[in-house]
Amino acid sequence: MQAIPSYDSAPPLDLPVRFFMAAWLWLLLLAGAWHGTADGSYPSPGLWLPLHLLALGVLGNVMLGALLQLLAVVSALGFPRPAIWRYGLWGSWQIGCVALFSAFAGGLDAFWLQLASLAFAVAGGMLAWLWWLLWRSPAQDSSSRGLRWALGFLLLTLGLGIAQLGVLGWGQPWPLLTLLPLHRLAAQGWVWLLLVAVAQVILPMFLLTPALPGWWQRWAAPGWGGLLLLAGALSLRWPDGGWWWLAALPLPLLALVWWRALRQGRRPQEWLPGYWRLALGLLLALCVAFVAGQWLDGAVLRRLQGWLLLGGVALTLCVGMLYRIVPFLLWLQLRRGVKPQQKVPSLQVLLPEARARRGWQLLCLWQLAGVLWCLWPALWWLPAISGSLLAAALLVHYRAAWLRWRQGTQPVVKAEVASG
Amino acid sequence: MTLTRCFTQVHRACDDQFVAVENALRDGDWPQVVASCDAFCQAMTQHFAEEENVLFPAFEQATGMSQGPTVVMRHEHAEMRQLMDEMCSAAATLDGDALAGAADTLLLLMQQHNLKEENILYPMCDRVGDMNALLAELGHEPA
Repeated sequence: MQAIPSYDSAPPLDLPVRFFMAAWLWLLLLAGAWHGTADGSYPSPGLWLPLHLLALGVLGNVMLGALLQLLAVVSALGFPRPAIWRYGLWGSWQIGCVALFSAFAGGLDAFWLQLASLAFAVAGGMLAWLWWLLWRSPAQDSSSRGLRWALGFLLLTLGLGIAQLGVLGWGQPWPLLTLLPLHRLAAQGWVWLLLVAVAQVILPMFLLTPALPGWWQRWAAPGWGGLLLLAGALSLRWPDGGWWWLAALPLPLLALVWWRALRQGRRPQEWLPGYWRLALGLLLALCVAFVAGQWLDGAVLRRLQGWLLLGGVALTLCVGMLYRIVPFLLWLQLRRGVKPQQKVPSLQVLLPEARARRGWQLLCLWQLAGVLWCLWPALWWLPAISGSLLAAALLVHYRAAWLRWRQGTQPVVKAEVASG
Repeated sequence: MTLTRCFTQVHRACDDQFVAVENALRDGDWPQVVASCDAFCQAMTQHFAEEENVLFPAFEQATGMSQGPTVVMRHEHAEMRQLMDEMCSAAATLDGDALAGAADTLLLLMQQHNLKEENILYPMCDRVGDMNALLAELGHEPA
């Protein structure tokens, strides 16, 4: 039986926003976690801490908050009981983050590792439910199909991460050194497939580009997902075969598709293409780093690959998205709370574009700092400072938007009280 | 031609007219701004009327869902009409900032609305019945 679209059960404002606020807090705390990377060793808890703060705390929260919102629009998923997601997913995700980061900061203490495994198991259960809801959605478009793939890889990433916590925290006799690279591969799959699916919607929607090519829409997610699974399977069978390059094969195609779309965008006055162009430049640099990695096996290249993926492409697009969708969510909330004849401030008033451009400049600084850290880990204070500046700017910008949003709602409340 | 394809083309045509407004505004060509704004709002209003007066009632009758997605779509139409009014007022008073602000806001509302229709509502319409007669009634060319 076909599910009924639930547009009247869209997530309330506070559901995505609490994920975004948590992401900001983790971005701020990330600044204090870089000092452990000064010796440049990997794998080490000193590097795992900032890596997971960035991947789970910052990116994970932004992506999950945006995903819930996106699924309501693209795939007509309803969230009639938002408290379940508020406490079940958001709550367990934050508890898992606190526990995992405490474990990495405190010498892999078993209590924190066990708590992290339990919290992420709950989050995994919630995401598995979301995946099932997405399967039942009446949407058959390429973005919804791509989001199914992306969520599948997120579940795989979580499962492999929890298995490693089982080894370190619960003493399970599982092969940690086999699980670690598979976990890394699945995490790449989650990030890339999410970006692929989201770009199919966002580029035509916000930048008024033509739709991405049909072959790309049809085959990008299953093709890339298949390559990721193949790379994992071959690496299990022949561990020394170096099959990881298979997962990076579609990167140049992705860069080409995005480049062509951006070139045909019809809103040149917009600030958002700047974020996409920066992400595209970082993506091209990542392609070069992957190719170089086939011949050169250096710690610098491995750091660079990780940075360009997480701190580079993914964070750049996440911050750009925040500047675009948060004012819109605030506007929607205002619009739905006022009487039809009342005027609601535009997005430009809620969050002027000059602030989004300032965010972009700080992101460029962050990228420079990150690349320098990849080359010389002793310069760990550079990403720490630039990350703090970015977090401070986001706080100032969103506080101003929130204050403007509150101004917009006050007269209506007074009017309602007066009429009541 | 399916209804999904036909009405998606209408959405893209409206996008083109929206771009014409923004381009004229960027060039500071106010007569063109006013003309483009009028043309855009007229095209949107006609499309809304086709949906509200013909498509949505047909969908509600075929599915029995009178309190379902069409209610949300009608509500979003009302929100977009208000923003289009703001755009036209701003164009008439040559207020570039107000026009750019209303257009930027409308774009997001319009695009997320289009996504809902193109991904879910139109394909559902195509599945519940033959839309060729409906398209012919609206003056769109069925295949």
